[in-house]
Amino acid sequence: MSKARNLDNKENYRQGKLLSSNLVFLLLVLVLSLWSCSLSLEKAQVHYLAGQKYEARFKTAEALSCYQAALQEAEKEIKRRPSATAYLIKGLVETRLQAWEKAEESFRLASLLGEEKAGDWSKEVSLYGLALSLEKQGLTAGAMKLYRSLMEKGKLEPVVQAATGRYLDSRLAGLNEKNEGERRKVVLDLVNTLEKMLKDYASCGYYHYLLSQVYSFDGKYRESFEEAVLARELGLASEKLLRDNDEQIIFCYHKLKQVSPEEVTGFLQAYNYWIKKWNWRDETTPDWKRR
Amino acid sequence: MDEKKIQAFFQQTAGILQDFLPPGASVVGPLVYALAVWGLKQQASYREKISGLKVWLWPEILVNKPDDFILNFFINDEALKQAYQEEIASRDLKTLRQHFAVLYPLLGLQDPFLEALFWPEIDSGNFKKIVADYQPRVEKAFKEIKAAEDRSDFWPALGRIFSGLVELGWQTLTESEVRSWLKQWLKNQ
Repeated sequence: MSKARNLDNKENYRQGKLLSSNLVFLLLVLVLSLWSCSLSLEKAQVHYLAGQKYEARFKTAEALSCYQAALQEAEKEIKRRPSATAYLIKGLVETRLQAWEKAEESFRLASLLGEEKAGDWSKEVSLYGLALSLEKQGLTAGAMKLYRSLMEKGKLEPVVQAATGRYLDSRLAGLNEKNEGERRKVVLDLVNTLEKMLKDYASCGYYHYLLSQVYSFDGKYRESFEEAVLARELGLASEKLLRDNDEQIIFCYHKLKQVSPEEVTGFLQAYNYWIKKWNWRDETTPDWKRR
Repeated sequence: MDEKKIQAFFQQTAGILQDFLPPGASVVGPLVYALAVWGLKQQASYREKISGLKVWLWPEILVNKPDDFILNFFINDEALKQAYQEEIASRDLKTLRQHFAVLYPLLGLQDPFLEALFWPEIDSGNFKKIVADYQPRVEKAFKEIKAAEDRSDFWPALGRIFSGLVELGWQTLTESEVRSWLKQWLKNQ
């Protein structure tokens, strides 16, 4: 017959028994900590995917909020248990938030921990960082080659977009000092480049924004207006891009208003339709504008 | 909204920020205004938005604009038109382009942080002084923030201020109201 368990029974306090209850406790802590680790990683993934979903629906503010949450969870996970997946998610979020140096480091660490594709992404982010620094030092030709290469061969979308923006801005610098023929040649080349990009990324608001800007260098205000409307409708990644795009829309309005009344009637109808949809206070005052 | 509550909130906010910033720092007003505006616009995160301010000097918007865009910017704002009438009349695009690079983020894109750094000059229409003072003043402001950012409790403190704004019912105000409350408080300092 087995002895009844009794709290007063000294057998219960022998070293072996103490060890075994400590072991159970430690195992429990370990299981809980592993569970909370994987929970952080899972949360990071869920937030990142939610961010992508919002981005696809052009809800930029919500997308950014999800990316911030994903970043926090990925950082938590890395503190507890660094892994290739955690660094990969961290790097992806950082590219979305344009924290290039951090993203490069995260992809490099993900690659070291065995994530193959992270190696290529790390190189792309690193090339972009190098191009930025070349440009800052006035070595424009080298920077332009790198931007162009990223635009043509890059796989990581945020890097490709950023490289395209920098490439265009560099080509447009000093354009006003060139003669008419040279200016038109540059603009035509840039329009062709962007149209090629839009074949792959037709729903990307940023490329429509860029095309709208380039058209206005050639005095094509109707085309510029249409591309800016597309950019606004498809969504832009930041408030300042949205505001700059709105300023472009207003600029096109000022220029197109000056053409003949027959031509302007159709445009004004379209213009009023859009500004009503966007809740602008009047033709030249978007909802965010005070003055 | 209760004026006393707002004044008390600003006072408390200044107290929190003064722990992080050097004496006489110029960024208290701009930081609070930036927090309030992004909060009002329900932007994703105060942290992303404030950090994003640094990017203004390295924008992902296209900074190169056609001459007509620049002229249009100066002509269609009465105060700017007045201040730059000579340059506009002589089509001095070299000067206009240089000044545009500084004034467009403030007056065109209305960045709340930069705007709050130059409120007195904007209100008095002294745009050429903004251009002259821009580089040193913005650099000083960023240095102040950078020093504060090195402390790990800086962002959580800004987070508490942001939560305080939301608790005050900030979202029910317009951007203009926020601006005038804050300007009034700054004047009384």
